[in-house]
Amino acid sequence: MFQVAIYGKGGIGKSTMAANISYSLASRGRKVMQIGCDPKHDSTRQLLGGRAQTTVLDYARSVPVLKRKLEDVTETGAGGVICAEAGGPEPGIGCAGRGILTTFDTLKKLGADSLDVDIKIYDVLGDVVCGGFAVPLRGEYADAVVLVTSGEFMSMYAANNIMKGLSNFDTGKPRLLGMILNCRGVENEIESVGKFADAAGVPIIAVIPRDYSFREAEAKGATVRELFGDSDISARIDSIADAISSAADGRAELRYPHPLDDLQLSDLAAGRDIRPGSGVPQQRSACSGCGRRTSIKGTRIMSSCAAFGAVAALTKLTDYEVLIHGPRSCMYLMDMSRGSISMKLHSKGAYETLPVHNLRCTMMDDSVSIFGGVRLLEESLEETISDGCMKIAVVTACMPGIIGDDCAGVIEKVSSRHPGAVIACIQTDGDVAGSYDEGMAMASEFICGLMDPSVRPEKGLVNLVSYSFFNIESSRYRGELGRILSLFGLSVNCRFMDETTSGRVRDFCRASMDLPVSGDRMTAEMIAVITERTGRKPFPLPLPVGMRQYAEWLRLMGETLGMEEAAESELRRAEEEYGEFLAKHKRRFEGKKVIMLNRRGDWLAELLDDLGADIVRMGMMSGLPRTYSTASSRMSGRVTEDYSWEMLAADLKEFDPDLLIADLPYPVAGKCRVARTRKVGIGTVGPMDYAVYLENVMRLPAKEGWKEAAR
Amino acid sequence: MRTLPDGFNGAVMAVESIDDAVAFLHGPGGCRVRHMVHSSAVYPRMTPGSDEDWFGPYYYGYPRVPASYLDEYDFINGAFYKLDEALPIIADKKPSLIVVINSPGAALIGDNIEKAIRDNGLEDLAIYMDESLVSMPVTECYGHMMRAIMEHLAPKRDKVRPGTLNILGLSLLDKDWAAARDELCGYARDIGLEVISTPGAGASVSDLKASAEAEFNMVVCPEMCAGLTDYYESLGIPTVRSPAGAPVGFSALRKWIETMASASGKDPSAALGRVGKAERAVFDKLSGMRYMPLRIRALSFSVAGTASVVRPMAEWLYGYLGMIPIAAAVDPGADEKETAALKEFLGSHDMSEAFGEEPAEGSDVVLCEGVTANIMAAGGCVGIPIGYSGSGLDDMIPRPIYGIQGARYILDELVHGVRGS
Repeated sequence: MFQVAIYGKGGIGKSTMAANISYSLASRGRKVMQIGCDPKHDSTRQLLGGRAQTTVLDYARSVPVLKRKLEDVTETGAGGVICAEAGGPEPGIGCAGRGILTTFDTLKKLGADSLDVDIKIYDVLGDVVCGGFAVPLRGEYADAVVLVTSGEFMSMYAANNIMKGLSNFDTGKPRLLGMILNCRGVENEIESVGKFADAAGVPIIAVIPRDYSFREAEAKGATVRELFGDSDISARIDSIADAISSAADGRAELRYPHPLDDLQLSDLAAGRDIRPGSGVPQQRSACSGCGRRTSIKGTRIMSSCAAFGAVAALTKLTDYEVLIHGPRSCMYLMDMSRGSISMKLHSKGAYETLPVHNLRCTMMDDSVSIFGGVRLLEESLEETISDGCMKIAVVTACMPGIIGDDCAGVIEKVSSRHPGAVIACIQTDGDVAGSYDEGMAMASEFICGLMDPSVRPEKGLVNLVSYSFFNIESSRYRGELGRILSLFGLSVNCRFMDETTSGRVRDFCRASMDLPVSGDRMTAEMIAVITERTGRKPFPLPLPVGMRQYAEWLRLMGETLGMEEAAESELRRAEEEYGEFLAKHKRRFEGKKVIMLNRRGDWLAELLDDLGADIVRMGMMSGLPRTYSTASSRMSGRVTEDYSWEMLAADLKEFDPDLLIADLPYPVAGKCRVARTRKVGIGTVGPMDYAVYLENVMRLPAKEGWKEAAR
Repeated sequence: MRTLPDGFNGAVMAVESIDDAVAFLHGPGGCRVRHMVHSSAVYPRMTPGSDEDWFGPYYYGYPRVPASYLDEYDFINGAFYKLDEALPIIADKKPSLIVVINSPGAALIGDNIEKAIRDNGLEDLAIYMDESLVSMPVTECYGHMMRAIMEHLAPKRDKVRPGTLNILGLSLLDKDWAAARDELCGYARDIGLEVISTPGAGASVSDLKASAEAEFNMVVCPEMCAGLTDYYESLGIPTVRSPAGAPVGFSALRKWIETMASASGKDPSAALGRVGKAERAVFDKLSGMRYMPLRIRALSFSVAGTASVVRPMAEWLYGYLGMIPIAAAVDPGADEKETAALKEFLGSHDMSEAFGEEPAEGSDVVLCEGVTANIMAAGGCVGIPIGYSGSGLDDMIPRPIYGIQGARYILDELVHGVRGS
């Protein structure tokens, strides 16, 4: 079977050409199938007596997979031409290009490939050569490509773009058969197209003059070739069919396209002689210096998407239902990590409330990506509301972003039907908005918007603020935090961005003080949003970790609350305890060489200094997410920025350290032991726990026994 | 809403089930990570110490499911350049097969994977799947992917090896799949059969090629291998299914063994003897824990999952332990025969209303995928995960749902769960 893609700008008459060519080929004894690949779906009408046929996409949308039959989407038209139409979405909805992909996939599954056909004609819209519309250019679909153009500049511009697309889908053999000039009566039309064709190295295989017979045939739902077989126009159409037949039989020369560059196009538009081309191949993969990427090296490597970050933040609002607008797999991938960790932490007493499963999804599939996902979003919102959930946050995955779903419009529509419903939309579009951190920041901005700044503060209440409560998510550290706060007569009003309710967020301002849980950049950004929303200034120091921070924090807290004596008393106790701890454990650290990667605060370096360890390197890997980087550090001068795996390998060789502190699950040669950066904890308790962990790590065998069984 | 995978997840995991194949994900990093963590946990294939080989582009430290990390730029401009760059890097790791899979987002941009494969001269090594995977149920797509791989490998059925079979319908998404595979293969050996391959569950490319010589295929879960059985039938390899569904619970397991033996003219006694011994041991324990059977008796349960699992599970819990199904939901892509049999079973005991109901509040016991089972367990019921693990954790003591181990797992969860009730 020989396959021909006929491309041209919308309205240029390519469907008319395609139908006439199909008929002509059929009348020459060829078994022909024509597939219309234009959302307008009128490619085959002139072969079907003017009737519109059921489009593949309409069919796929309404008929379950198991009940589909090829004969429902194909019809036999004039001359025995088998006809099919892809169809497409309504303007402004979905992705027509993806519709082409789905049409081909559907036809293939229904057995179209086994039809008795010699020549298959694809009639394809060529205004937009996005990935979907370019599919017929692929090697497995188009053996030959025919362009239809007029003398109008935009028509030639579209033809030029199609040639670029053809270059990008280079199959290693020439495929361009030629150009059909379908005249529109433009001044110097034949000359203009001739110049264009010469510059592009494409032969004009036929010139079709304007002729009333086309209108007459169309009115009768037939082709000119069928109605006026003896006319001059029919003879010209037959010549195209002959060219295609020759190509099918391997007798015609096919060519590589040489699409015009921008300067050449400007000559064409101005009616000048077209200058010689730059000769630079227009293959995407060969592009350099034009701003286009040619390697993954320019890509930010994101292990999680913004949608997941937003979901992680929003599901902490236990009275909200979070609706992922995306396929089922998105929910599965997100829920598998989030759900299981939540349950584990709950079972360890880390949460105050029972985690709820407040996540659902619109379950987008291919049909909604073609016809738009707004209907499904609307239905899912209605269903969520009918389940009694009046607070809903929608998070968008990649698919609705790519096809451009109007989520805000749907939400407005549903909200107007349910005045009591509160529906928010966090438009992350998968990773289009960035990584997990960015998504979490977007969601936190929304959640901050729930705060009521008019609520009056009450003495003795504090808020804890952070993007993550990981470092205090254990009953031991929560207990220690409670003890420290109680020294100053404080209790917690709201753990912001931890498991909480929108009511507690709304009453955020009941607290008289906001305590940052950590000093990382993301928490700092979150606090900035809170300040903007409420005008509140946070307590200047994050929850303390390590002796120095603890002393500083206690003194400032005592000063702020007028409870200096309570602060000094606790400080004396803590210093005494810490001093005793150091005295007991120092012997195991003194002189030990340590490499630290990606510190999460200064406390660890200070702890190691206090224990007498020798920190030979503090490396900061490049490209870390904001959650890893601290807003400020006393250790900046000691840190090696842009540290790399290669530098680590060299350091390991040079220093032969006793300890490597890094989240690195791999063994390291030599005497070096690897310790992970666990929960930080709070006050001096966390660092002392960590020191015990480190000394235990250093006393472990270099290689655990289980590794001996390596195959 | 239960947390279920779809065809995209199924396709990736199907490729990852092949010992020497690699799934190259043309998609964002976020689509990679869980697949990478999950496949590595449930089917580890690397030796500690070999990790330093994986720090290059597309792998970034992890050997499983390398990805093209699509971002906004790629969604707009296409990412053919990444396919073109990545394929030789992946091929350089010497896999026996590369399968390029589009993420749901990548499927919309239409990059020409076929050309990237061809340009790199990898037609013999690499195939691609750019269909709309999210439109397919996970089970259907798992079998569909395996079929596509078999079609690429195109093994010849030059000879038939008598007394051999393949076991189909197990997957990497099954809880403790390897333990289930080993047990079920053991029954085949017990009765004098040789298992050539377990496509979709730890078979290598050479195993898959050899599978064409099997006398017949024995199915565990028909949903998970629908496309694959069709393929093998086209080669002339008959499909054998147990009329009792998947081997869940002792009675369905017996029937599964008997069906396999009958198809090959073998005596099932040796394998059935093992089952009988296990049943006797359970009898002894339940008899010994005198109040336990009383506690279990008349407990209500909800079960949801693959139809060929739900049906024997419901029958077994009802008939063997005296429990009442109040909700029995089957996942998308359910096998029609199994679904009909489930309906018939429920109807025959005046429990028709349970069919199609999702796991319900008020159930004493909930058996379904892990997230829902755990969440419901936190609410006070006994939650028993029976499918689609994906958390990146795997059991050290295997607890599959099939075979004797499966029966013991369910019973273990029940007796510990209802203790003190």
